[in-house]
Amino acid sequence: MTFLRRVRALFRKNQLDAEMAEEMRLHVELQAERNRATGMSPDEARYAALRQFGNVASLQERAREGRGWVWLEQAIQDVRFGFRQLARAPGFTAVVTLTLALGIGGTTAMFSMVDTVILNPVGGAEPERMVQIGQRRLVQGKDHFQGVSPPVLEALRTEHAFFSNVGWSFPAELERVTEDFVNGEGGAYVSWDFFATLQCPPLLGRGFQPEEAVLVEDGAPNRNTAIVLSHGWWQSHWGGDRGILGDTITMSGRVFTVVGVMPAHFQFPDQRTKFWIPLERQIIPPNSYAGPSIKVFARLRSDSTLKQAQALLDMIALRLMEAHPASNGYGAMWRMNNQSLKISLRPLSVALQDGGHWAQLRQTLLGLFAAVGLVLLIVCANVANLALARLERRQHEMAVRAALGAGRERLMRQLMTENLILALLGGAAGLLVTAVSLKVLIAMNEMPRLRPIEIDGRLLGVALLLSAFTALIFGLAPMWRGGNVRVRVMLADGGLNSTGGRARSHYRDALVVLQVAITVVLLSGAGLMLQSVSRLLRVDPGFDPQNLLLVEAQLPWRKYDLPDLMEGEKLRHALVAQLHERFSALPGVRAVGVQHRSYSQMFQLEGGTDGWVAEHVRVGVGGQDVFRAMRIPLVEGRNFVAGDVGRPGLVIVNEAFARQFWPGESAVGKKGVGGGSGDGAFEVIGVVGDARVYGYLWDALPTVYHPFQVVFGNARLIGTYGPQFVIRTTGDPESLVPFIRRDLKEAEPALRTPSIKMAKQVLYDSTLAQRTYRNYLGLFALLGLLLSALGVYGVLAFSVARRTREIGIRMAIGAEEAAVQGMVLKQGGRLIGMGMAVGILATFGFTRLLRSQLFGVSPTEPVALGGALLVLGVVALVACWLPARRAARVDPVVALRAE
Amino acid sequence: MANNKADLLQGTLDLLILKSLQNEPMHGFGISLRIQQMSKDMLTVEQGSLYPALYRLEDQGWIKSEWGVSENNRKAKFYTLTATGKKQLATEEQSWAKLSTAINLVLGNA
Repeated sequence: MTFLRRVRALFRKNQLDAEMAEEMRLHVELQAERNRATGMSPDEARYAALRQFGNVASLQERAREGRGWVWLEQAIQDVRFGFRQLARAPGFTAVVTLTLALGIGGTTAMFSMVDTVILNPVGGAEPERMVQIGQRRLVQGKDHFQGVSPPVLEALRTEHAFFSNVGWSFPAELERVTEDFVNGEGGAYVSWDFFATLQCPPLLGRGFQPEEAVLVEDGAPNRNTAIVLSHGWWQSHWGGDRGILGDTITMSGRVFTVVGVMPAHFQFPDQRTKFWIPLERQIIPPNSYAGPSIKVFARLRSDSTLKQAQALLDMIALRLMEAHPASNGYGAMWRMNNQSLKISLRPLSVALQDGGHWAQLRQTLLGLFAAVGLVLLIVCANVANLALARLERRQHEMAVRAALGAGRERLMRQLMTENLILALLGGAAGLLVTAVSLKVLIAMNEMPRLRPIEIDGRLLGVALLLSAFTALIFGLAPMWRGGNVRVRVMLADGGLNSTGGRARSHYRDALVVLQVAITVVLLSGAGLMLQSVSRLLRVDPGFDPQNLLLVEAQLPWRKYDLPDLMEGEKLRHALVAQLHERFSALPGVRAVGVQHRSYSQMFQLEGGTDGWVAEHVRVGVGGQDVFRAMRIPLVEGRNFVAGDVGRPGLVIVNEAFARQFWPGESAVGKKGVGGGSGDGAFEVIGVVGDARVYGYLWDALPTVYHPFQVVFGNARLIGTYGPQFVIRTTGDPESLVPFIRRDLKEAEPALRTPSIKMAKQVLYDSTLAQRTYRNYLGLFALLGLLLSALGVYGVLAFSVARRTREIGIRMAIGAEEAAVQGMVLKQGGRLIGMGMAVGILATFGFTRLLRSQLFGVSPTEPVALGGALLVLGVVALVACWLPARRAARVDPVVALRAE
Repeated sequence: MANNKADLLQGTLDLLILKSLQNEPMHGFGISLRIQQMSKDMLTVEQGSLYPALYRLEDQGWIKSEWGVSENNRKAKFYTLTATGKKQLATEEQSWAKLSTAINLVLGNA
C-alpha cells in the first residue's frame, strides 16, 4: 500500500470501518434475498446467508490488518486498558509511583550534578575547543599550570592566529565605603568580550562594549566605566532588585554603572568573584613586574588543531625570551632555577577541575551517585515484587483473555505497556523530586561552573531513559510470568489458591534477598561515615578552640604602606598595640595574642637542605603572645621574650617543621638562612606543637614563627593580609563582638571590614563536605531500609494471605499459635539471613569506594558493619512479626470455609 | 511467480476479480455471483477471501471504488477496473495461459 494511502487510512479509521461494515451488510442482504428466492423462509434465508458469509468480525479484522496500522491501534488500546487497570488499583499505583519517583528522581538529580561538575563542565557549542592558555613552571619538582604575565598577554592579544576568541581575567580588589567599615570587594578585571568568549550570556542587561575597557593603574581603574555584577552579590546586596541596571556603585574613588548581572551558576574565576570590570591593559610601573596571575581563555578555531596552536605558543615564548634578557625583570623571573618561559594550553574542562579539593568532591559525587543507584535498584525490586503480587490476583482475567484468543505475545505486550505507564508516571513525579533535590545539592557544590545545574532537555532525556530502564527491570518478571498462562488450570480453581509454582516464589524471594543485601551495604556506608565524622570532630586541633575569637582586620594599605619602610612599620605596630590594649581591656578577656600569616619564603638550612616554608607567621611577644592565647604547647626550648625583639634571627618552629627537616633530632639550636628573616641567618630557639588552624581535616603545615616586631626587607611582604588577633575569653565570646567592632572602628576608621569568627565555628565549618556526605548517605540508607522492610513485609504478608487455607488446616489439626508464628518468622528469617550474608560480602567490595572520605576509620571497620546488621535485623524482624501475628490469628473455621 | 499454495490461489482470485470487472462496474456481491456464473457454478468465492482481495486490489490501484445505489435501492460500493488494472488483467491472462500450457505439458508427459 502506498504510504500516503496508509496515512490517510489512519485518520479515516472510523469512516473506513463503517463503510466496510455497510458493504458486508449489503452482501449478506443480497445473499439472503437470493436464498428467499429459492424458497427459504426469511429467517432461514438470513441465517444461511450469514453462515455462508463467515465470521464477520475476523474478516473485518483481517481487512483492517491489510491497512497496516494494527500495531498502533493495538498499542493505543493497550495504553487505554493499562490506564483503566491502574485506576482500578489506586493503592498499588500510588505506592509504586511514589517509590519510583524517589528512585528515579534522586538518580536523575545526582546524574545532573555528576554531568555538570565532572563529565561536561563546559557548556555551549563545541566545548572541547575551549582552552586555557598559561605558563608552565616546575615548582618544587611539580609541574604547575599558572596564569600568564602581562608581556605574554600582550603577545597573545596581537597574535592569535589559531584562536578565534581570546579572553582573560585578572583579580581585582576595590574598596567600597560603607557606614561601618570600608569593604574590600573582590572581583575580576576581564577582557571586554569575556562573557562571549566563555559563551555565557548575562542574566540581565548586557556584556561590555570595547570602549568601556579601562586602564588599571595602581590598583584601580583610571576612569569611570561599566560593571557587571555577580548573581550572588546582586542578591545579597541589592536584594535581587530587577531595576538595578543603570544604578551606580562607587568603589576606590570611581563610579561604576551597572550594565548587567550574570546568572547564578557563573562563578568565574571563583565563587568569591563579585563583579567584573572591562580591562584594556594593566599599567605596570617600569622596572617592576607582575607575577603570572592573568588567566587566559581562548576558543580554538574550527580549522586549527591543538598542535598548531601549541607550536604558535612555543614560538611566542621563544620571541619573548629573546626580547627580555636575563637582566630584565621578567627575563630574570622566567630564567630562575634554570628554567625558561613555557607557554602551553589545556582544555577548559581540565582547568575548571583544578580546584583545591576537586579530587575529593569528585569522589564524593561519584560515591553518592553509586549510592543513589543502589536505592534505585531496591526500588525496582520492590516494585517488581508488588507487580508480581498483583499479577497473581489477575490470573483469572489473564486466563479469560487468553481463551478469547489473545496470543502470548499480546498478553506480554499489554503487561509491558502497563509497566511502562507506571514507570513514566514515576518518572514524571520523579522530576519533581529532582527539582527539589537539585536545589539542596547545589548548595553543596562549591566549584566554579560555566553551566547551570538545571532541568534541561538532556536531563529530561535521562529521566525518560531511567524510567524505561526501570520498567524493563521490574517489569520483566511479571511480564514473563503473565504471558505464560495455563488457561484450564487458571479457570478451573479460580486462580486464587494455586501457588503459582515454586519458581515464582523463588523469584520473589530472590528479590527480597537482593533488597536486604543492598540495604546492608548502604547502612554500612552510612555507619562508616557517621563514625568518620564523629572521629573527625574529636580530633585534637593542637590548640584550645573553646571561647576563642579570631579577629582579622585588613589595614588600608594606602595609609600604612609608606615609601619609607620604617615609618610604615612603626605605624602598623602602633595600631596593633592600640588595638591590643583596647581588646585586653574588654570585660571577660583573658588573653589577646597577635599574629600575622604571610607568604611562603625560600630558605636554606645549615647542612644544605633547601625548602619553601609553607606557613610563615609573625607572632606577638609578651602580652601579645599567641601561643599562650591559643594554648599551643611549647614542646622544646623556650618562647620569645621581650628582649628577643631587637635581635633578628631568632625563630620558633612547629613540630611538623622539625619532623620534616630534622627527624629524630632536637630542632633547638639549628641554624639556617632566609625564610623571612630577610636574607639574614636564623636560629631555632624553641619548638611548639602543631596547630590545625584551617580545620580538622588538614594537618598543620611546617611553620616558622618570628617575633612580630622585627623589621625586615620588603614592605610588600606584609601584603594585604592584616594582623590577626586571637582573643581568649572567659565567657561567651559572641557577646564581645559589637565591642570589638567598635574598638576597631575607633582605632582606625578607614579599616577594611574585619572578619570576626569563633575558632570553634571555623573548625566545624571545615568539615562541611564530610558532614554533607554523611547526611546524604544516611538518608539513602534510611530510605533503603524502609523500602527493604516494606519488601520483606510485603512478601511475607502475601505468602500468609495465600496460605490462609493451609494455615487453617494446620491449626485445625492442632498446631498452636506459637508454632504458626514460628513458621512465618522462620520463613522471613531465612530471607533476611541470606540477604545479610550477601550484603556482608558486597559491603567489603563497595566500602572501598568510601576510602577517600573516611577519616580515622578503615573501610572494613567491624563496628559499622555490626551496627548495620543490628539495625537491619531489628527492623526486619518487626516487618516479619506483623504477618506472623496475622497468621496466628487465622480462624481455622473461617479459613477453611472461604474459597 | 507464486511459490506456495496460498499465493497461487490469491493470484488466481485476483485474476478472476479483474476479469469479472472487465465489462462493467460491480459491487462485491455481484462480483462473487458473476464469477460463479462465468465458471458455470464450478467456482464459488469465499467471502472471507473476496473482500480482502478487493481491498488489496484497490490499494494496488488496479480497481477503484465508488459509492452508488444498488439494484434494490441500497447504498453499495461499486468497483471499477482502472487503466492500470486493464493492463494488469492482460498481463495476468497471458501468464495464466503460459502457466496452464506448461502444466498441461508436464501432465501430458507424465
